[in-house]
Formats: sequence, C-alpha cells, structure tokens
Amino acid sequence: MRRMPPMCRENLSEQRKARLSAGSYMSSPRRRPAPSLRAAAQLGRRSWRALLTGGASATVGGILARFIDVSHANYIDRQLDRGGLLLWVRTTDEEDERRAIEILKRHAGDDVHIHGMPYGYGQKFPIKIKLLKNIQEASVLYAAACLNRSQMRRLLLMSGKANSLAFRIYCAFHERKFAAWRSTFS
Amino acid sequence: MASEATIKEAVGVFHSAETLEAAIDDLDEHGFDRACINLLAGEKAVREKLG
Repeated sequence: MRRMPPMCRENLSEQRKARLSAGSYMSSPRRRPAPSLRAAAQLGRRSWRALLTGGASATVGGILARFIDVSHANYIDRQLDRGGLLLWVRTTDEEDERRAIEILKRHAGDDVHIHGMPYGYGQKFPIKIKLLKNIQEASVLYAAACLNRSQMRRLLLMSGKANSLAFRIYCAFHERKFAAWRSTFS
Repeated sequence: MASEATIKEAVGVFHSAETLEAAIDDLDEHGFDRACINLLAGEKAVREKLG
C-alpha cells in the first residue's frame, strides 16, 4: 500500500485535488502503476477543476440526454442537485465490475450500480462539435466516451477560452477529425 | 456489430471528500487505472465538499 508522507492540512488539500485530477490528464495502460504523487501534485488546482464535469448541474442531464437514455440522464441530474459526488469507474469484464462495486460500497458509496453506455451513439446521433457552448459540454461528451483523451485534453487546456473565437475555430477545424474518430465505432 | 457494444461503468455517489478519496485510493490499489475513473459533481458540491 502506498503511503503519503505527513503533510500540513493545506498541502493535503492541494494534493487531494491534484491526485483526483491525474486521471483526466495521464493516459497509461491498465494495470500500470499510478503516476507519482509528485507528478500529480504539479497539476495543481486548475487541473482539479478541469477534471470535474461541473458547473450548472441542471443542464448536465439535458446534454447527456442527447446521447444516452433519458432516465439515466435524469438520474444524474437528481444526484447532482442533491450535492452528490458521482464517481464512475470504467470496467472491462464481470470480474472488474464485481471488484469495482465492492470497493465503492466499502467506502460508503450510495446507490452503487453498473450501467452501460452504447458505443457508437456519437455516430447514431451526430454531434456538432462546433456547436459546443462551453467546456462543460465537452466534459460531458468525454465522460460519455464521445471524445478521446487527447481531444479532451486539448479542450480542457482551452477551457479559459471556451467562448472565444479561437475555441470555436479550433472546434470547427477538428470537427472532421472527430467525425473520423467516431466512425471507427460504426 | 460494434455499434451495439456497450461500455460498462460502475457508478457510486459519495457525500464527502474523505470517502471519495478513500474509494479512489482503493480502486488504485486494486489495479484500476486513473484514466478509467471519472468524477462528476456540481459546482456547489465542489466548493462545499472538495474546497
């Protein structure tokens, strides 16, 4: 078990933010050791914010509803309205599912369950990337696996300019690339 | 067909930073890659619970 060195409260808080953010930025094959805490800590507060698919939670379900089952989108909305922190763990097989469920329940996770998201719904319901209004929408699409990691990373890095002309040009420019990527699932 | 395949995800709702972090640590120790873990929260919850 990895142990953290003793830290003051302030540092611990920063470290927590950074560690949670690491998942959105560091791509590595499954079963590989997690990135070092030091590397994660360097990501800082801004990265922590970027990981979260947050903001006006009332709209999250609305965005998701365009791509997933409406009842599940509503479920997410309700949980966010109640102030819940939703943790999603992607699984690859039944053993993975069993272990993930066990761990989430062990740490007092509420309403722990498995849900499935169809591959290829980005193809079925074409996404107008250039119409994304803000980084929140991009985050939702990432969480729903419509964007891949490097695409999402680029979008996150531009989060401070989500409504700028540069952002819109970027999205329009890459729309063809995104479409090609989604077509690999068809 | 590939378009009928599904991505399976385990979902749980947490109400404090402590339990959330403990769960993530546990997942990490059991071989779940950070890239497979996502967090979704409202802005208010982030401010109040995660600072």
